[in-house]
Amino acid sequence: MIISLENITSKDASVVGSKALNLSKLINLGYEVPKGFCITTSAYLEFLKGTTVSSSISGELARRDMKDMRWEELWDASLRIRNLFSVTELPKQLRDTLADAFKGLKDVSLAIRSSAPGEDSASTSFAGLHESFTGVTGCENSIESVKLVWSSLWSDSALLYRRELNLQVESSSMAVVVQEMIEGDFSGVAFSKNPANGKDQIVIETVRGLNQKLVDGAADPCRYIIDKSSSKPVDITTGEYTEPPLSSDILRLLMDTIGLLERDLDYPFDMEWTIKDGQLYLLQVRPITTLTDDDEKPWEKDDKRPWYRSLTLTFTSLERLEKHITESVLPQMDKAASVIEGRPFKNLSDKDLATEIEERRTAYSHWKDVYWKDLIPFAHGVRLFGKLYNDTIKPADPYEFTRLLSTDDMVCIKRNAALADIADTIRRSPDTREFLLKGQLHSLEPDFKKSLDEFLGLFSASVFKGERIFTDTSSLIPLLLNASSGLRERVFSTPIELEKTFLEKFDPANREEILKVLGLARVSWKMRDDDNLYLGRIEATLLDTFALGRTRLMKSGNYSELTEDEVLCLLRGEESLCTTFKKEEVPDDTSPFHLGMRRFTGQPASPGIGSGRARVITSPEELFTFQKDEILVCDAIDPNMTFIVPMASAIIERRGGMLIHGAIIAREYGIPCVTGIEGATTYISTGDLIVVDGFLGTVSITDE
Amino acid sequence: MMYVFESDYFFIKEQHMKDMSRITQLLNQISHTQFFGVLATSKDNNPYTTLVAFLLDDDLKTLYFVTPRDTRKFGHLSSNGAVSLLIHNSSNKPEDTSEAVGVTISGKAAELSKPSAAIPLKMFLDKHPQLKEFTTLENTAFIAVKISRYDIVERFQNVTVLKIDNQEEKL
Repeated sequence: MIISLENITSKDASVVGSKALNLSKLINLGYEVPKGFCITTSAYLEFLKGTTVSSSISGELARRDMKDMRWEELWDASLRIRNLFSVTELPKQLRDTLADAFKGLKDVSLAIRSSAPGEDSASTSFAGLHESFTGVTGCENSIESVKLVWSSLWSDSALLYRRELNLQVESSSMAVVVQEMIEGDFSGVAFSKNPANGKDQIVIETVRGLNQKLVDGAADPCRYIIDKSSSKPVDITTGEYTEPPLSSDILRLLMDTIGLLERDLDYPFDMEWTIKDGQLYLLQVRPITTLTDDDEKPWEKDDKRPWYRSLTLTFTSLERLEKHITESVLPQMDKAASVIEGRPFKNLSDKDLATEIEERRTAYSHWKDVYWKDLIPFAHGVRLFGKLYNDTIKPADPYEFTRLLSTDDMVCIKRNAALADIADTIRRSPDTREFLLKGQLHSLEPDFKKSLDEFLGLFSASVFKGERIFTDTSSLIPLLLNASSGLRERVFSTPIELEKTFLEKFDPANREEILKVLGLARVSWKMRDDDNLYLGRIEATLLDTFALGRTRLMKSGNYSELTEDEVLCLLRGEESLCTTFKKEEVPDDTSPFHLGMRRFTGQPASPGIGSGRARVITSPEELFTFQKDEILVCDAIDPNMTFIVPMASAIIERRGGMLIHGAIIAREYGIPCVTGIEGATTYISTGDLIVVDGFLGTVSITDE
Repeated sequence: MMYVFESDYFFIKEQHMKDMSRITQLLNQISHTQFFGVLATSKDNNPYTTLVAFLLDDDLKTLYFVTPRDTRKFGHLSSNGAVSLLIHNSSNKPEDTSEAVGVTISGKAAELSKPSAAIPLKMFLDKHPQLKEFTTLENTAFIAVKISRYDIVERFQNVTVLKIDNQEEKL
């Protein structure tokens, strides 16, 4: 179960994994490698055998067909599996074996790394799928890190490539490499071939001190690009340094070592290294993962997996991104929306209106790209904090951390609070209710009218499925009357105790750093809702012009339905280019077979059990028909429709995830919620009697 | 693009067709790979289950099995034709909880006369050649179940229902 690195031979390949095997080869070839040992895959298998973890993993992976799962859902599944490993005790004998292996290393700082069989081989390019931990000290911490390395066999990245990796509960396993940390004077990575363009150049990146800063993106390294034939640098970028930090002796030592390794290995490689007191240590050598660089937006490619993997940013990169978003992106979006909103369009000629639509469409498309490029990656702040919280607290509920992120400052919470106030006034004043029922808005109290205008103002740019939700005060009336029958209140209060317990787990010297991570996660959490509203404002300006164009065309011609492109074509007078959309005739269903669902499994996004009649929402009008205690069924709750949530007794969403808007708001109000129900809007009909189990993640239709 | 209105009607129709094709394939696949199922019958409020060799017609409308007439299950069937049959692809592992598929087939059973049994019996024996001699015995009844519904359980808790119109009335 435990083999020291120098004793590993090629016959151990299947139980020590690629990383350990590569390190043992380097040792045998005479290179200097930090001392250490491998915990073989038998320890992982022993852990599975002695616990119920493997059935739980199977259950987790079976919730939904993996090919239907979005990356966010895979990340959620992975977080639950990670938590499962973390909270499950090791069988006694296994614990004793591991404790024994770590016994002599009490005061030594360790690197504890994944070494999966099949990972890092020359034929695969899945580097970095699994987790590694550095600077670990003490037996208990080391054992905990080993468990987390094991759990990373099921990381979100690994799940993305599950088919290619042939990842199976019954046959996959993970070994772990444990090495002494070398506190180097300089560290870095080096490539035997330029990974950016494949040229015969050596690329060396270096930072002062530990390598981890470079791997995490916490330091801006100095980069040397060296021509192999002349051994001369062709380009040096100093990064955060004023002068290139490596002496010519160190550079020579690195290049000589790369030359030797090229002779010993038969593939282009990258190596992680560190130098202490003039001695070079190799931390890892593996085949180069080829990088391609093309113009296509990574989020629009057919294979989006590399884009998803790029979303797991480090704290340092997130900090930089936050600055960019708050100081540049959001103010610019706000400005762009104001400028467009200020442009009158109602009296434009048809041709000029078409031009205006084109311009608004270009603006919207630009900001949508910015949204994908900067705002979506920023959401990772929440996930990063989640992992830190779970590693520190080991909570029974892996989503307990979201309670620390909740804030009153979110736009949707403000809207719901305003709606609750208005509903309360209606409940207390029969006259007001009567005026609203009769549509006599002019008879309402001035103060009440003012609060309605203010509420409408909060929704000025709200769009749902391509239509504005509220156009004027009268469109609010059905919602207000429904809401006046009573709304749920938020169950979350500021979790002072929870925050205190969390912070007390850290050394006081590090608390400031931890508070920064928490602060960043809170901004990231708030931004998940609010960024949609910024983009929604720009989208609304586009929809207004389309709506005008469509109205004009409907009046003048015999069109029943027009797409955006058709509106543009017809406004420009290019009727001949326009292929008007005809609804396909669908023959009546004469088959004797009728398919339905009576029970669904999804993700348990908010705990609790709720039952009632379903209300399936597919259009803005249906939002206003929502009655108190109905079950909200929809494709995806977007931040513009969360105002009906306090009326719902449970929530069902087709889109999956634990950190999506619907899940967040459901937890805020203590409403049971299940997400990732593939056939939700297809197989559930308004009026069906439903039971939602937010503990198990199931939905049942009970009156089929 | 976010502002393109998606036709919910076509979306639902498409999902129905996709799911229908997946479910019928799944049913055919299980019925071809599994030889035995658990038959549930009931008489005078007494439920009873037995293991039977079955054949599911490729059109998914009829299920066949054979039984001696002096058995308890035949006694039940004679007084109450309502039956259900469980077939599944589990392999007796813990992972079956989430990985196995179970199908409950419900319908109305009746014995087929010799002439109407000829064709289905041949198909039945193609699947279960070891029962050839048994089916020729005087005491063996060939039973057809007109199926009214399937309840398909996958991934532990996902239950799809496939109903068939008016099958019972045709018997």
